[in-house]
Amino acid sequence: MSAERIFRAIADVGDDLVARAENEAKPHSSAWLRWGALAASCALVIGIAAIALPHMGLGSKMESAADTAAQYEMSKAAVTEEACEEPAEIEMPAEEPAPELQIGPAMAGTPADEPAAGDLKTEEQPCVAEDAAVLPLLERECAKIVLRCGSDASVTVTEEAEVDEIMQALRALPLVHEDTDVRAEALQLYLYEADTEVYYAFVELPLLRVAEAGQSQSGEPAQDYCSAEANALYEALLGQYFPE
Amino acid sequence: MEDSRIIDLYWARDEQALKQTDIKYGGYCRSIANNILHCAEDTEECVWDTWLHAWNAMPPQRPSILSAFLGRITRNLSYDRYKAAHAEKRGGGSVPLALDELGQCVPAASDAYRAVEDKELSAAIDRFLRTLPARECNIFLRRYWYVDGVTEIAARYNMKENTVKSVLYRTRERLRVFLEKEGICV
Repeated sequence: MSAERIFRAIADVGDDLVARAENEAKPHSSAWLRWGALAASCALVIGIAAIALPHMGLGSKMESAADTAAQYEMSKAAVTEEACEEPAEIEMPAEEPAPELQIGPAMAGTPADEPAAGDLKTEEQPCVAEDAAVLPLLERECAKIVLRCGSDASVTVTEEAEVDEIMQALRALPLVHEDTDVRAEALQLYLYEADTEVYYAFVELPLLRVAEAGQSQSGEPAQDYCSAEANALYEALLGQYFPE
Repeated sequence: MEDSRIIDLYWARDEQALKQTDIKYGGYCRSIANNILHCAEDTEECVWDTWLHAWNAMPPQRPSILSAFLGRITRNLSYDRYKAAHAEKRGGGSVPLALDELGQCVPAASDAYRAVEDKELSAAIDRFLRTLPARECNIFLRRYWYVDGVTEIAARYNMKENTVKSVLYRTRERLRVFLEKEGICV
């Protein structure tokens, strides 16, 4: 009875682990935490923009010495003014990547071009939750793939070759751990055959914080919440694999 | 009453220790026993056997976490009683399901000899659990230490049942791989 041996062995794991499993507080919907995180993130973005944007115009697109001098004078004037005034007039170098908040259209149709998970920053960043940015459909099915939004991210594929493609797309998503907000870099895929034709793959994703609102296809209310960027990227991914 | 004071009562051989233990941890231990036995009479007997075992164990033992100490005694006693009462693996309740699920963790048979002691197996599982994020570790222990049902675990952590199942499945797979890497044959 090997399973029994493991069952008995589990009894002797550390007391601290056992006590933690008993005493861990139940998570609850805390709207104030989400709005507080949103407010903090907005303040951070505004602060970064206030500092960085006035300097973006320096050294960009200088076609002639006169233009160079004119732009330099304009930039100097912009720097001396309030930092948040007229940021649209300051040119941003095309080659300079935006922070991770860049979402949506860049993802559609080109998941392979997105930076790999390993390129994502590893420092902790708050995952901004916006109730308004909720997927209209949390679940779609087609002949090949079922992809569900949320921490229960199970993927059904009919061909094993599709797994790499899907994993590439999933790795491009800004997945963060539910408890620490640390970006996930490692994704493991557990694949097993459920019947003769279909493989079920459980994607080893950390537990996400997913959007709380909206309805799934089955009509059941969603119980999790997503960040706006995760929502947008999920939407683009769904649009690619499940054309309406 | 604080745990340290309760333990002091045990050491002083004061029978108030049993009363205080029942007041503070009676519900906790009954919950564990009932998850395994699903019988009120057997549950109650197990809990009172737990107090007897605790009385005999302290002194000389002075557990750092009294709840886990008592819960472990209850769990082991309950499972022994369960085994004695059930000849076949399949029956009612969570234990046969839990055992079936844990069968997934059994590493593949190899030519290596079976040399691991139960204590080493426990130590290995302990090391494995400490590599997990807190939530996954807690869910695993709620299922296989406390023998909670998936529904209860989902309600406890405000999760979907499928999510709990998914987490448990992944964790069992990880444990199997971990035990294989450790060279542990069960």
